[in-house]
Amino acid sequence: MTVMLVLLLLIIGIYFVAVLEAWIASGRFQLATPVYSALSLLGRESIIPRKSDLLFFEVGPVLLLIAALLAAAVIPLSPDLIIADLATGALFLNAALAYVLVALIMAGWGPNGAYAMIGGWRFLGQLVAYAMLIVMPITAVVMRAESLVTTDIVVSQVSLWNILYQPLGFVLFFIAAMGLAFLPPFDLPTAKGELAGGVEAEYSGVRLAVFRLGRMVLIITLAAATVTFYLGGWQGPLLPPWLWSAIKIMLVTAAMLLVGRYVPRIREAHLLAWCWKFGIPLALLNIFIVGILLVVIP
Amino acid sequence: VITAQAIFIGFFGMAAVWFGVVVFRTFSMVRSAIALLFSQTALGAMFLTMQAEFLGVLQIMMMATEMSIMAIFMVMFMMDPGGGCCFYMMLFYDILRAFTRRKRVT
Repeated sequence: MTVMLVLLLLIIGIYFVAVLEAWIASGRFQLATPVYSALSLLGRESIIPRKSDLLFFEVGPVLLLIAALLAAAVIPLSPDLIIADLATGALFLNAALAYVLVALIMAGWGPNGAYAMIGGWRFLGQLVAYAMLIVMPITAVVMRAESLVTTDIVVSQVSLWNILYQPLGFVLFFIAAMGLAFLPPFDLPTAKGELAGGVEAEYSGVRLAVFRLGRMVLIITLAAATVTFYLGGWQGPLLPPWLWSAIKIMLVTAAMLLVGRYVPRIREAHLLAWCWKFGIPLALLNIFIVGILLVVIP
Repeated sequence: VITAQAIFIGFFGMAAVWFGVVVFRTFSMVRSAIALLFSQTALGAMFLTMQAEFLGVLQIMMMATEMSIMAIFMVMFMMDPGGGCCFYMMLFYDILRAFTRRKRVT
């Protein structure tokens, strides 16, 4: 029952993301765009490149979808609306999202194409940049909640949302989440202009549809994680809890997609340099500040 | 008494061993690294079935990134990372063909 409800909300969210992405890409707001593009993708031939590593080629998009769905399983949409309330929820989220990298490397290596392969290995470099900035802000959040359980993390924000308690962590996590979902300023693996689609380049038809679907689930999941960790999850006045989480997740998704419209694509070297020279010291500072706050104001 | 836990431990254990065998059976460096990754993931799943939740999740999380980084180093250092025209494989096929060549019957 819970699984069905969460999946239903997820599908609505994916539809929203697809509409929003098309709106940002083309400048036209059309509610039917996802239906058209899905029909056109499903109707097309799904070409298998010559001398491809067929196993990786097939598994890549599916693994991306599975990883994103597993990560979504530990996100609470309301006190009861959670698929798996694990004792290590915040860590499990990381564990599931780590397989996004594996999926992209598989999808990049599989089709035996230069652009795809460069895209896949580029994402590995991107991981070296963003991985610490995902984990360290979560550490600070977990320090405040004194628990890895995601529902406990939401409950710990009753008095003050984490976005106000640790704004530095929020900014870092938001940027790193965009890097993980390879959204526009960080869309190095699928760079449209320079790599002709990168990892997506050799995919077509049904497989590309699965890949795009997995990516959209990933975006939604990361927005939901941001809401859970920093924006007080389901908390809010008047409206029912699940509606509050849905509204917040949609707003965060829209913000993530909108930022990419106004920022040029970052260079891989710059991303790595800035993440390690500024991001990680700031993340450590964030942990330090939160530690002091927790000691001073119990 | 065979419990569900024992069955799952056996299943994941066999999966870990099988992927470990695949590491040495494949000529492709990337396949080899990813097989090692899934072997380690199966070990993590064994931890999970043995109710060592933190250890299991940690194992599954760490190995994904570690094995991927190992994969790129293997690709960098090997002459033929894809395994398409591996020297030893060619040699093996040549030897095999030398022994199994059919004599033309006239």
